[in-house]
Amino acid sequence: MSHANESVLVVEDDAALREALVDTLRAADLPALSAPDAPGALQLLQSEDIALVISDVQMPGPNGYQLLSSIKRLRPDLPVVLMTAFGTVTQAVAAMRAGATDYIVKPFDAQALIDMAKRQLALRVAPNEVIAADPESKRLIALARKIADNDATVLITGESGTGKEV
Amino acid sequence: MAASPLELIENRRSELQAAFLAFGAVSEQLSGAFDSLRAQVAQLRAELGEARAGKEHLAARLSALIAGLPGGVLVLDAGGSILECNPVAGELLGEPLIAQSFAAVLSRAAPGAGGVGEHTELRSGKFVNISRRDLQSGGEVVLLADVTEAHLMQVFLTRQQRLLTLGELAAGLAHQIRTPLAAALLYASQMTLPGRNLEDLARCAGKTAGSLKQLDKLVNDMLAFAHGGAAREAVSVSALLEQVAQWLRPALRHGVRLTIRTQAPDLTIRANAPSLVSAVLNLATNALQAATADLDLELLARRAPDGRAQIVVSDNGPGVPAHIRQRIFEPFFTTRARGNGIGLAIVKSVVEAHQGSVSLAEVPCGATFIIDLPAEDGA
Repeated sequence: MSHANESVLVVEDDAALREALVDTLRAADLPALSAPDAPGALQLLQSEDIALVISDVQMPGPNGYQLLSSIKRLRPDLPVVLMTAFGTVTQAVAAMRAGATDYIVKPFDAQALIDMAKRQLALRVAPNEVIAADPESKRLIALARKIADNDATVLITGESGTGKEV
Repeated sequence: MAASPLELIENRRSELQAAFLAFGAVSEQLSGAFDSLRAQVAQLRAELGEARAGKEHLAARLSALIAGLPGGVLVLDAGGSILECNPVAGELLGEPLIAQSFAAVLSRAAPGAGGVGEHTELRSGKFVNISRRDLQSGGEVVLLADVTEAHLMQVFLTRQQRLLTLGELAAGLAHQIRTPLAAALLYASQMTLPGRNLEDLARCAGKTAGSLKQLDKLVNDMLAFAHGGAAREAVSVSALLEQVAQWLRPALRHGVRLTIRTQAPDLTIRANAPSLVSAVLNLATNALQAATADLDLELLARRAPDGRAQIVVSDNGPGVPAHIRQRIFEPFFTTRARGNGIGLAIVKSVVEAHQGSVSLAEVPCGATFIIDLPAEDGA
């Protein structure tokens, strides 16, 4: 499956920083689109082929967490990275708890942004793509992806015969 | 026939006996009356004793109560000298008190205090609330309440509030600085990415410099906010508005009508013209940015009924929503995605540095800001 046309969507209210983020991603040959706020981001999600969302937390109108939960309803498998402010561990914890795939602390340099975006996109390009349409299944797949490169112990529960064997 | 001597004696004896009997009866009555009087006297005396004891008891209770009151009590005569006081008054004001003038005692115990009012600071470091009341019998009663704890609590609370405001200010400033800083860091670090050509590098350098200039402007805005301009000179208000218009005209887009009106051509103020021009320009620019359609913008110079100078910036745009009216002059308060929330705070700071005030008028349509300044000719 090819991802050539898929873009990274940057959501940031400050125009100068938004442009800087898009420029940086494009400098690493990553196609990037941008929106100034959550409604704009959701609109682009409907019309464009988006593979990753990188969103600011603090925005006028719906904030990053609200955008995250809207995206989780629309596309549970889409990775969302939140940009949190320096020194606010609580924001980072809240971001992960709200279902963000990862977080990146502002200010960050170009390489950190590019590495993070490439890592998220690589995780997405699985050799054996699981096909699912049901939002619940997609959520399960997204969760499985999130814990796949982690060596934490996971308890899998379910009815007998549902295929819990790993 | 005359009575025999024996008969006469017998007669006299019975008369005497009757007299004795009568005397005896009267004397018995008298002694009875005396006994009853004596009993009454004893009862009255007992009652009097009781009454006196009750009164003494009441007086004793009253003085014990006053002595034990947690506040200081002083009784002054008509001339303001202290007749009586309780021990707490002595502790608070220091001895001697009796026969001293209360005014003298107070200036001794609380130097620099006005006398009556809230929270008088005493030499001992304590704070008292002094209340005085005239007595019907002449003179005054003075009550000193120790409010040291309440006063310290209030001082603590005020300091906490100031710290909180400072904290909010710092948080707002940090957010304002962080955003251009994040952009500058991204562009500067992009230059070291592999495969960059000269054109890329030049663009990144330009963008880095742009973000740094934005930071510099932020610092200048903060300084302007802190100082509000310094040097003052006599300026004609209509000339000032003309300067604003010169700056404003190139920025006018299609559909905006700008009117400059002067109701008092001779009106002058003492001002730092550049900072006041930028304050008025700030209000006018806000009007332009808030408008989504055609706009009538008017700058008016007039003399208020009290003789002060007024600059009125009014428009027929969308106006200021009621729920944010109270907050628009707060530093860092903004409703714009790209606003830094400093504009109106600077306007307020500049106007106040000119001994003036700026307010948002209550108007049915659009927004009207009134800058009120002292006029040069006195008022």
